[in-house]
Amino acid sequence: MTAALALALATYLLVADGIVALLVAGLVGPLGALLLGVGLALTWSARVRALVGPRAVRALLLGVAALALVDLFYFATALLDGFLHLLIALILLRLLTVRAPRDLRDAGLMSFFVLVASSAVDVSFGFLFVFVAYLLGATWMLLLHHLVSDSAPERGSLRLRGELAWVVTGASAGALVITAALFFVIPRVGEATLAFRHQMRRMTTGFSERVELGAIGEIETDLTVAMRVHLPDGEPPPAVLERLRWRGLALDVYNGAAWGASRGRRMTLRPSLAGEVDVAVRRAPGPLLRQEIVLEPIGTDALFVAPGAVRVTIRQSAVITDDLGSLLIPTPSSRVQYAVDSELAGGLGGRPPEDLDPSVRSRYLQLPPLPARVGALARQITRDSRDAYAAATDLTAYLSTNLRYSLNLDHTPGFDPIDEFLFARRSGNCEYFASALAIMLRSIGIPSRVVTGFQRGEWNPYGNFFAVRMADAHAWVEVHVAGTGWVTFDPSPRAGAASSSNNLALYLDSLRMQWYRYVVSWSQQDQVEAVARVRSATWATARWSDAAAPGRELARVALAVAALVALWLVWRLWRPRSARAAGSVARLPDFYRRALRVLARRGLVPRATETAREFAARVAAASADAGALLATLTDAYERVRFGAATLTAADVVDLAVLATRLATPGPARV
Amino acid sequence: MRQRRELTARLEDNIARCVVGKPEIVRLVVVALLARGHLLIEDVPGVGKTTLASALAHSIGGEFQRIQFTSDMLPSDILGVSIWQADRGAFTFQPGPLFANVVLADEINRTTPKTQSSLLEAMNEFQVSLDHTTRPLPRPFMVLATQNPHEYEGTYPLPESQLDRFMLRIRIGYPGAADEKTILLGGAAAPETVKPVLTPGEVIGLQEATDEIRADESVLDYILAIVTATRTSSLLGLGVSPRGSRALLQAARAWALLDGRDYLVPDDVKRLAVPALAHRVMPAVAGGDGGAGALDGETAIRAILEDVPVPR
Repeated sequence: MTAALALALATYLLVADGIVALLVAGLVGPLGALLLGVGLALTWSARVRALVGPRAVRALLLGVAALALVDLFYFATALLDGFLHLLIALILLRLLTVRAPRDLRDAGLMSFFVLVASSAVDVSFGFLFVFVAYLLGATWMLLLHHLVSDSAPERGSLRLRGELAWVVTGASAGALVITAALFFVIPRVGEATLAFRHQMRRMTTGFSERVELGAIGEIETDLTVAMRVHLPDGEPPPAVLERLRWRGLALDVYNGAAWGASRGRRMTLRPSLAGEVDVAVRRAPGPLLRQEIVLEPIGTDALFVAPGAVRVTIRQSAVITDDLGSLLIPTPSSRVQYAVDSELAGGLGGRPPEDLDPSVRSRYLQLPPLPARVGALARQITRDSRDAYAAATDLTAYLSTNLRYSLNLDHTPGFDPIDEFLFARRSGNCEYFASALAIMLRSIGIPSRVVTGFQRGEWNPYGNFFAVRMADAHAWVEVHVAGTGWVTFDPSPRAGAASSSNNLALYLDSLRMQWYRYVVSWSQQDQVEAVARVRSATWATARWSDAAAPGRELARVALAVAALVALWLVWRLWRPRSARAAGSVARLPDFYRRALRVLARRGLVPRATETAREFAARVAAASADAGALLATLTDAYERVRFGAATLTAADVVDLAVLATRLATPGPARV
Repeated sequence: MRQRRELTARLEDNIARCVVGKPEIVRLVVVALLARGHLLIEDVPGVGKTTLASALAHSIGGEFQRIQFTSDMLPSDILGVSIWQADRGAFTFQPGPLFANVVLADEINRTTPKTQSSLLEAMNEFQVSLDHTTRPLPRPFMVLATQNPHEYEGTYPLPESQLDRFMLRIRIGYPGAADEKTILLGGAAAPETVKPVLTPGEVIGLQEATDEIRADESVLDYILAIVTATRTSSLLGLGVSPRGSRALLQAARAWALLDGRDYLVPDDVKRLAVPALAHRVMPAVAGGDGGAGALDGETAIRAILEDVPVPR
């Protein structure tokens, strides 16, 4: 393949990568991406390009400008979209009018801005691949552009060889490493920049302060990951695991068709400087379960936590609690990351909880008019129960054994949904089970409430986290037992989350989690912590060297030497610029320019009236080794510069190596 | 390319057998041949001017004529003459010695300007006009002229217009001691004994190849810069004509071909500048004639070369 063709290919791949980035970020739909792809393919065709003369290009450009204005003011949903449309149009136009390798390079680099724009709205793991692909492609593209423009302009038939692939791959890897290093070191400004576009996936009705019966059922087939819960201490013991749920909103008002939350006492808590906020008083000195949670934008303002949360660490202006024990945040626009410490013991053995205030108690006993047989059934099941706890246990057992779990929720209008569930359909989803339990308990005078949240999800051993999917959405019941407090009962006979994922999927998901943790949400605070860790490690070394005085002396000397070497290097690298010949160096092939630079460092600079050969002879007189190398380079230089010869890619690399070898006096190894 | 190199190497070696120790001079002679130019060899008597010209003439096949110029020579002695032939009742043209592939004009400055100028048209246009008819000269056609420096007795200096028609002017110079010893020992072949190594057709082929040597624009600019400098230099009273710059380019091309390249480098131009330009310029008279400040053309051209930046 010729370098010119490879350059064109690399450029088109870069632009295609930009289009994929838009697709991944959801800035264009599949149809839009397809259209862009077709447009891109059209610009490749020489016949299409021939159709578009300079006048047509000018007309197109004007049209694009006008359309962009209209688009910005009337059509685009956000400023960013408008600019993106304009950018894409400009890239395609540029490709349509390619006259020189430079134009291709411009188009490829413009595609980078598409990536930048996508990165503003896309934090998915897939973006990493798009980015790495761009980096690879861009390295290729720039290198090829360099090769093509460095060889003779008349003929673009520079051939490519295999070695080049290694060079490019090495260069890309280097660029990746440097980029990664910069990413973790450069101060974060992204958090301060204005969000161009609030993109929030409209989530269903599952987690709001008013939940229709059956609402959760709609999302129980959605396998999208809703949250990931990282447990730094590893997988919890089975006893804890058994009861682990991610509690979201508690609901206390039932109107016969939907549950809602009464607007009770609400408290706005301000996090401390470290982002910590105490949301409850610890009841027992037992162990805490630490959870680090990444909650996707699922359209709720609730925070999901393990029951018994006492402290939340979050980067938000406030955390709102209510007397139902729900935790809310004021601006749930995008992905939320927080950490929670929960008491696992559930208050056992600790300070006994106060009994419910009568007015509060009545809230948890509120009931709409119900068919009489619901209450009758509850009384019949619990006729032998000694206390509230036993009654709740008996009712839970009845529901989970006698009724079937089903997502088929045909409701006959006019019938009471709970009555229909208990006596006619005898099947339903978790909300029906939870509602039935809560209503039956209330009908026999036991305070209860419905809680929505998630089942614990699938444990990922590679990343030590639970992957919680939308399908894990769940509803259960909390029952107030005198002397114990609120106790969780789950009447749904629903099996635990299906763990159908294979190992590879689990591993990829753990990578994704780390991507969120260490890249997407890598914050200034993380940087501060990382620096602190490095510093404390350094101090440890310093203390060690205090202990060994001679060692410290040695270290000081080594440091001084290193500093001197660094200074010398800087001086060496900086000097040739000032010592450079004043003559014009336009169109000078790169390897020869490099050779001149290297020789200038040795004090050998060609005079203005000195030809390349004369200079080579003078260098040879000064140093036979350098003379031999320079003779080869001069010959190649003349062929390229005056003979319009094209060098193979391998030749270019060889010559560059020869040029750098000029710097080291010694036997020439050509 | 290699084939061309072989041909030219054969020619150079053949001439070098007669002219010992002067490879550069030999090469310049071949340059003039390949560039379709004429050569003026100027030096004191006895350094091998005639030997050089003769060796070249004998090395390429084809017709060779030698004209020994004398002060009583007439143009018809060179060009030829129309004679009345009574039996046919018409004039017939008897071609002079100029009708040959290589013409050695020995001691050209010994003849009168009238005869010298009769060479003008032949050298420039490769044809002879006589009696209202134009007669083409054979190809390849080359004039090798030798002259003694005009300070010597009994010479008519060539006018500028005449000098301008020579592509190159070279000076042979005395041989080195070792080479002169070789000559004394009989190590140099007599020009009459060398065999032709190139046919006229091969010479024409090489001449055409010379035209195709690539000249980068920057090299052309370099030539122009040098030529412009001769026209504006305070050292010179008369600068180089456009014919001179064409001659420099063509000669540099031939030099590149002899060097085995198919493109020009600035070195070619730099090397050929003195032989191609020095005889075309007239030094400005400074400090009276022959005074300490006077320069000859060669020194002036060298000074200019040290002043014009080369393309990078």
